[in-house]
Amino acid sequence: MSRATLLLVVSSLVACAAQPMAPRPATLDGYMIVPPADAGHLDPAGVTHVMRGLYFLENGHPAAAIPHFRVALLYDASSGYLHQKLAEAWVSEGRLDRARGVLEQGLSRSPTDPYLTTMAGELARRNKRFSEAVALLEYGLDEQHTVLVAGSGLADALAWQKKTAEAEGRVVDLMNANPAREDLAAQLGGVLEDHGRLGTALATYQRARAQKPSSRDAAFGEMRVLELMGRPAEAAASLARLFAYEPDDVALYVQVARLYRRAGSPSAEAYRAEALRLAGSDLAALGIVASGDIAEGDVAAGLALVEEMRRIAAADMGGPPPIQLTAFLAEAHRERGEPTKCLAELQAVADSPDVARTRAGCLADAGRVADALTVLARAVTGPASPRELALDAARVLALEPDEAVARRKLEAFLKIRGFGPYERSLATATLAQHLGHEAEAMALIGALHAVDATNSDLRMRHADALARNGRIEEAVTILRAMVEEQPEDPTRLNALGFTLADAATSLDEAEVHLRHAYRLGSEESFIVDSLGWLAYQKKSYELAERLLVRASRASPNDPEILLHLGETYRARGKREEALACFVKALNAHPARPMKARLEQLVQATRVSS
Amino acid sequence: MKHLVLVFACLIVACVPNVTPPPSVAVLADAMQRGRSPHKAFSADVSITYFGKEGRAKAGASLAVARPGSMRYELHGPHEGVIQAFATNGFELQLLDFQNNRFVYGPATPDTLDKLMQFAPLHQSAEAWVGMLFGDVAMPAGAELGSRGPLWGARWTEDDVTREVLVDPETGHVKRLRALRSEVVLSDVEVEDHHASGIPTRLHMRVESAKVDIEVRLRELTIDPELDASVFVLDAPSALTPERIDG
Repeated sequence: MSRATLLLVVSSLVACAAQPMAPRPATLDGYMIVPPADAGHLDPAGVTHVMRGLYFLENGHPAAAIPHFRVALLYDASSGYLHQKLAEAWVSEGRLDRARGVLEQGLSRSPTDPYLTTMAGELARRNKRFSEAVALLEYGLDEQHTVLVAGSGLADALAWQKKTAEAEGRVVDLMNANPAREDLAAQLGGVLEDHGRLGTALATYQRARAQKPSSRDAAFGEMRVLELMGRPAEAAASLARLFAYEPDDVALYVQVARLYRRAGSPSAEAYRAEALRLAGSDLAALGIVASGDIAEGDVAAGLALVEEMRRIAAADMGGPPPIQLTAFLAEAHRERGEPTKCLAELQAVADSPDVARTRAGCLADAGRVADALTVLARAVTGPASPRELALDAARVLALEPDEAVARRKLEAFLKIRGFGPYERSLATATLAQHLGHEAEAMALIGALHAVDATNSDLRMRHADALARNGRIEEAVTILRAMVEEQPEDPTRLNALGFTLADAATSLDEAEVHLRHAYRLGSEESFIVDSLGWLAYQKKSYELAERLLVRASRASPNDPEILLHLGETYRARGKREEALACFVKALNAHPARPMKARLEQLVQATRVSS
Repeated sequence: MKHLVLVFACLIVACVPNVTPPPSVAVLADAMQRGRSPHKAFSADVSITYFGKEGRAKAGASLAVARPGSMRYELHGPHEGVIQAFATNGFELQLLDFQNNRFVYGPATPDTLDKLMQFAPLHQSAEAWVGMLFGDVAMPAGAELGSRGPLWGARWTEDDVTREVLVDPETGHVKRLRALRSEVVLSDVEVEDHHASGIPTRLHMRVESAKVDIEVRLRELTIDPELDASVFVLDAPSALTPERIDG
């Protein structure tokens, strides 16, 4: 079935459903669209299955779509469109091998179909078969529906092959050939950004904005690149041009204010004030402003704003303030390493199961391990999942000075509270990891992963455990497969990039994955930290410091970020700052292996100063 | 050498003492219930090795099965194209034969199923076919009980066809299923392997009268996929004249 024929059928079905009965036309002119000569034969028997397949696919049920596309293919075995849709459904199901099989079958019948070649090329690119990807993606460049994926995939595949000049040349050619496609320009800018070609990426984003000044993708791309280049004031000014199109966007004002704050510009306060004025008494909008303050390290202003939100909410509802705001405040204190303030905040709602996990965390941070465990035990009937509670219990018990006691208490907690074998193994592995028994943790998580091979959380944990045991290749194999399945998931990209960067192997590959993750989540502190750590590994210490300071402002009590920042300060000869970071990290209850490393670093830094 | 191996295999079987037969049909049914796959549907890729009058042939197929009586398969030719598609929803059946350009439809009865699924004329209903693919057998309360080697057995007759089933008492899995008429074996199905879900993944079917011997292996099993009813109905392509089959 050709696309033209299918579109004709769909259009006529939609028209039939939407229009009232019309009088019979005198002639067919103007009432019917004549199918093109190459529309091919349309067998009505297959159409119902095509429609059902499309319906299921569009509504997020690819598994239900698959049998219908297969039946539809019985009636038109040479249709590139049906092969493409069936392959799409398999991709959505995470079965790339099956998708490849379907595409091979389709390509054997229609070897130059732009939809099939684009999709096959895209899958080859994800699988790092770049030469094959380039050859296939060329076919998709002349079709307006495929040029976005084909063009950006082609540039990316060339860049991976280190054919950077050719990639940049193709980007320019594609933009010249598609002058009205700002979405293509923004996508191409993203590819260049991922491959560290910041200058050409910036020019590409700017060209996309010239084509369509209201483009958010291009505006945020330009902002990211300028900031990575160490020009936050220019990044803020560039983003501010979006106000011409989105004058009431509170989040945009907050983002501009944050960038000006990083630049040390007084304009920051003006944009924040405007954000507050626009927010008025809207709690969600005020929350955006408060979160921005806290993430930039202005905790006092952020917390004062949350207090104000509580007053507004209490006045509006005529009762106690919403528990979510109390939990937010408590969590903010905890993240800043102030468990006493956290507990004081939670005092009025201490018995609520909604805050049990935060309260248990603060009790543990305050050294009250037994009380923390009691709170978690009571929370079994609350909204937290058994998995979350079991893992929390393991983390809390990792603070027990006596390892045997910690293990016995965890075992008793899991047994008495009726946790299943999955939660028990996972919690035991987490405790083992905190105590420094990496091999034991790896064996436990590996066994869980073997039973449930498709569980993303277990795959990620298994990769992490393998990496901690020095089995980097195996860890990277798992993570590469995960990225291949979902190449736009920043968490997976970050895990793969960080694993490679931390092991100081394949730093170039790590950089592409981490820049891609940063493009998708540039304000996530764990991604900023990874990119900073990569810069450290590449000995770009000035960039590393800039990124890690940013990450530590957003997550000031994270021992891993503090360790990375301390190492960077040390490499730059800033011993006082390094020592302060290491000491603060030691006070943030790190796992034992990191604690040992931090103690060594404190010692070494003191000696050298 | 082949004969020697067979004799040796027979000796081994003969040496295994028969277990005590199940005390009642209910006990056997309970054991089978334990081994029964709890799932409602599955789909799989199938490798078929066929030994028939025409010689040995290998083929691939796709299979989708849903309780109680829905089943669809597509038989692939040597170049991956579909050469035959069959579907039944338990009430009606359709066969789309691309090699001979035929579309056949009719009621789903043991006779019509045998006529259209000539590679395995097991003389059973669509529901029994689906049950067999899930590893289930429906057994009447009056079945005769026995044992063979380490397996429990049951035998009963309905509509002049005698059926025998052998069940592993430990797992509850059906291991062998035979149909006989006047003590002449019509069909013999051995279940040689099971998936952890209880679904048989390797079946060996023999039909003496048709001189057919088929080995079926299931791969890429998808358990409980979303299969709506329309997946088990094939429509006639406009170029073919539908032929009705009755039985």
